[in-house]
Amino acid sequence: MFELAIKYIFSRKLQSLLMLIGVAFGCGGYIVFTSIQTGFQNFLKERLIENSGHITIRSREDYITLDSLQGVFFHGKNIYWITEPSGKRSHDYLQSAWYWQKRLEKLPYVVANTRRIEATTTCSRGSFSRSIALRGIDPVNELKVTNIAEDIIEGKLQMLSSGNNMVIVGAELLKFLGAKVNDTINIINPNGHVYPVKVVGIYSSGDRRNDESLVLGSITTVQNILESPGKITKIVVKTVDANKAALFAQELSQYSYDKVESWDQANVNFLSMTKQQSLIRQITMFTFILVVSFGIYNVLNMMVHQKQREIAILRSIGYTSVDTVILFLLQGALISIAGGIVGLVIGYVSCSYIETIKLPGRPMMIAWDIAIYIWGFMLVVTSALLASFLPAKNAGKLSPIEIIRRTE
Amino acid sequence: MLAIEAFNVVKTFGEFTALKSISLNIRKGEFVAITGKSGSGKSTLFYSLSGLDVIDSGRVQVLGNNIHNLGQDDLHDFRNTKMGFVFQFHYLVSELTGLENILLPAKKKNLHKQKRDYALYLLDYFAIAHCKDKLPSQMSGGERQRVAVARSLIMNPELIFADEPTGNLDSINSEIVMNIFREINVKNKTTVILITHDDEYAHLADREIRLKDGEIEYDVYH
Repeated sequence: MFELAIKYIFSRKLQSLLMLIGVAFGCGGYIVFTSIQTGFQNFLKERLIENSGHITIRSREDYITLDSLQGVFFHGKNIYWITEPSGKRSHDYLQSAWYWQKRLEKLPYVVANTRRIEATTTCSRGSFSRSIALRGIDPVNELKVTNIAEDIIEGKLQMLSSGNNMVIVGAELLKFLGAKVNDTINIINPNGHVYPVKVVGIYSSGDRRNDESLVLGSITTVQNILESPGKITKIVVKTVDANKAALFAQELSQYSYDKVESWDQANVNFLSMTKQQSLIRQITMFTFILVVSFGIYNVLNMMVHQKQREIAILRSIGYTSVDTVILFLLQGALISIAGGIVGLVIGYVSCSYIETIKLPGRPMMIAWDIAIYIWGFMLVVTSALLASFLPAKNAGKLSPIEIIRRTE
Repeated sequence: MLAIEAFNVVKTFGEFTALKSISLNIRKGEFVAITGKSGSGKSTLFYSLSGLDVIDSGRVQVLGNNIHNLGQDDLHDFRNTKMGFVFQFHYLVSELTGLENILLPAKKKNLHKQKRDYALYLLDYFAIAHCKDKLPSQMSGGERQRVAVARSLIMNPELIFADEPTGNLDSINSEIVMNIFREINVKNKTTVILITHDDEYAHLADREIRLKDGEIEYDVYH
């Protein structure tokens, strides 16, 4: 049957070629779309994880309500509030940062941790001023937890430790202020006090929002500016496996009332967006593969119709209906496997080319994952086989005597 | 020894009864022509005797086997090894060469390598050696039919069923094909059952069974 299937395929070169091209583009298309999208998503995810850490520990955001103050004042008395209590509790700082660090150091799944102090404040130079995200970091530990150092395009993160009142400023912010490295800019704290700081480096992540607002300083510098000596707002943790961060965060949250959040819990919207993108891609690919499958179905169905007399003679000389099914299924299988292999090559070559395309700020991100190629191949080959099955089954059902009577 | 024993065979198509309780015996080595006008039931009898079609009632024993009681696999195996078929339309596989078409039944049994020499002999014997590597589309009608006859012989069947094998051929080729059947019958002692509406070719057979309206009109030995 194999030899006859090959002969049938080559006897209808154009039809077979069209089927093969359909399968090849189905497979290649799947690989290209998936590689680009997965590459981009991985890139964003990596940036997200590596810049913000796997787990963040910060003080819980508590809001004052009527119930939360029950029994606090005038114990046992009925209280009627003229204005009901509301607003956020002033817990912006971690109450037990030292305790956290000691505990984290002992945990086997924690690779490193670093402290941060963060606040929103204002920065100015001359008549220009802008709201900024001021972040105090421990340069030595920060390097162990995040890859923020990769985004320092001038100067070094370690320079923040070389003295007080030194900052690294986002490139867009620096441009806005009209300043450059070694210039002095002013940071105005929430109390309205002005602190002059020296620019020792430039930060540029490609994320405009960050580049327009981020100012990095040492923890001591930022504590001084915020007039909060010894205060820490956040501990950022790197774990052994970013994918298990939510699990680790859940365990850590049992140690304290502080808010422990993994990177994926903190970026639910982003992850749901990537899931939505993947869903759209899958629907598009499904539609495309469905069209290819219909093409295969039609070609094979037509072939079964054209080959009725030959099917009749095969059956009359001893070939069974199963042999007939195999004959047509084999054609579908051979074309889909050949098309799948061509598709793998198309996918690989296309991805290699696309990776060389330069986008502003970064090259095209391609995911080089063997699983994408295996999935692409399996998906189209299985679809093509399923599409071949119906015509093959119909061929098996043909009664030789009916065919002979019809052609007499 | 009987090649075929049919007893009270009835075949209907809806309200129409094509075979009305036909009983007949065909001995091994006989050359039998089944004749009759169009619609007389000769093709229906042919398909019923060969097991290609099912019957409504009665019994057909072919080489001692109740052919309508065989399972599908056994029936296919029986057709492959014991019977050879030749139809009016040659039904060659258009993608296969003359030699490949002849070897097709042997291929089912994976005997095509062993049967290759015999296939070449048949090609030579039927004077179509030049068709060995030709596709059916490159052969004449007579050559195609001779390839079909050679294909029916490749498994050395005990029975040859030929349904109007000359119906699509000119007189010269018809004579060649009929002579081949005669030779097969005489030389190999193969039972040949031939359906024809041509009285001239019917007279080449040892015996003629004539059908009329689904019944045997006469059954004579020439």
